[in-house]
Parts: sequence; C-alpha cells; structure tokens
Amino acid sequence: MTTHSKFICSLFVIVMIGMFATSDTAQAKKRNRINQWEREHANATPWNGAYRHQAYSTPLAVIVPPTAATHRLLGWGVSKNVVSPLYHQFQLGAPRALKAGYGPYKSLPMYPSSSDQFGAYYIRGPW
Amino acid sequence: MVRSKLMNSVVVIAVAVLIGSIAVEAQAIGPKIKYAPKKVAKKTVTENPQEPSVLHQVPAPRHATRVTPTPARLFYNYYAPTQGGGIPAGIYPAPRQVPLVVGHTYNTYQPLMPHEFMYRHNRAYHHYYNNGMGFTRTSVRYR
Repeated sequence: MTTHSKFICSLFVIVMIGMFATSDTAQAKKRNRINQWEREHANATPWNGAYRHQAYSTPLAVIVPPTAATHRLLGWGVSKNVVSPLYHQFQLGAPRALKAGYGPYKSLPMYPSSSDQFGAYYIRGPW
Repeated sequence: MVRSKLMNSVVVIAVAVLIGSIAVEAQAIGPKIKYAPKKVAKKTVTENPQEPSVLHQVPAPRHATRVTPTPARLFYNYYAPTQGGGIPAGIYPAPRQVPLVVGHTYNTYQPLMPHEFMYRHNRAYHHYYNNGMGFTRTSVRYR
C-alpha cells in the first residue's frame, strides 16, 4: 500500500466520521423539535376523553412508562383501530381546580363500539 | 493508476456530501447571523484626567460568597396535566391526600418510587447537608 493510497484512505475515514457526527446532531435537533411539539400539543388538549370509568365515575388515568410513544384504540368496524401518539405526561405541581367543574362525561354505552368508551386513558409517567 | 483515480473520485464525492450535509444543517438552524466587527470605544488618556484610577477598583471580598445548593424537592405527588382542560388526577391516589391543616404524607425515599421501575434507566440522587459542606450521592440503575 503506497503512501498516497494510505493518505486517501485516512482522509476517507475522517470524512465518514464527520458525516456520522453531523447526522447525530441532526437527529438530536429533530428529537428536540418533536419533544417541543409534543409539549405544546399536550398543553392544548385534555388527557382524558369524553367518557367516564364505570368504577370511578370520572375518567381514569392509566400510567404507562414515559418511554411509551403510542397507544392503540380498538373498535368495531373498518378503520376503527387507531394508533395515536401519547402526548401527556405526569408532572410536578398541584393543578388548580376549575370553578366551573369538569364534565359531564358520558357513560359506557350499552353496546360499546370502541375501547375509548371505557373511560380509561393512558398517560406517560414522569421522567 | 485506475485504482488511485477511483479512490480519488470516492473521496471527492464524500467531501461533496459532507459539505452538502453541513450546508443543510446550517439552513436548519435558523436565519443567517451576520457578524459585525465589535465597536470598541478607544480609551484616551485624557478621559477623566482629574480622577485617579484607584477609585475604579472594588475591594475584593475576603471569602468568595458560598452558594448552598438547595436540596432536592421532597416528593409528594405527580399530577396529570390540566392545561388543556383535562381533569386533575394524581399519580398516587393512596395514601389519600389530606387538607393542609392535617399534614402531608411523604414518601421519603425517592429511588423506590414505583414509577421508577417502569423502564430501564440510570438516575443519581444528590443530597447536600451541613449547609452545603457535605454531599452524598446515590446512583441507581434500574434494569
């Protein structure tokens, strides 16, 4: 192996390392943007749905690991199985209760057509 | 000769791709920053000639002010977010919360909180004591 080819090979290796480093930083920036977007979405939407749990008379929060990304809603019929992202997460700080109250929430129908109607909704645990 | 030409072309392509990726990165960061040379006011000797330069000096403190790190917040509960109109919900409904006049229920050892066992991670808990002179650290690996 000549010196010239050694130099070319080393230059190639350096360039490849540089490319991977830039791709890592790009992924980190993308991840930060996604996290920011998730937080904004969580601040704008309620964690619970329109239904209440039968045993608690309120929507029930089911804790899942904070690494969970999506949850699945099962329903009868075509295109009723939905995979949607989990935005909300438990956090510190006692919330202030609304004076107007919450609800009313719907009760479980006689013939449920979706797992969303059981009143149990997933929330990610705190980091 | 053909081989070296091939290697040279590979290197040139790799360099072009690298430069392109860096350019894309620079575009994704935000608007271009225009750097302007710093304008430093030139100090002249005739500035405040009647004032001695000793007055500008601030007496140095004997000891550097020590900032005691605040201890970690004692855990009490986590809550579901209500910013979007969700109903308030605590992560640990038991033991039940009590009014302020009665007192609070604390879990005094954070590493054994059940929500820490839900996923693989490492965590270090710090505790300062003796007005910041002492320091203990507990590293936990959840596997």
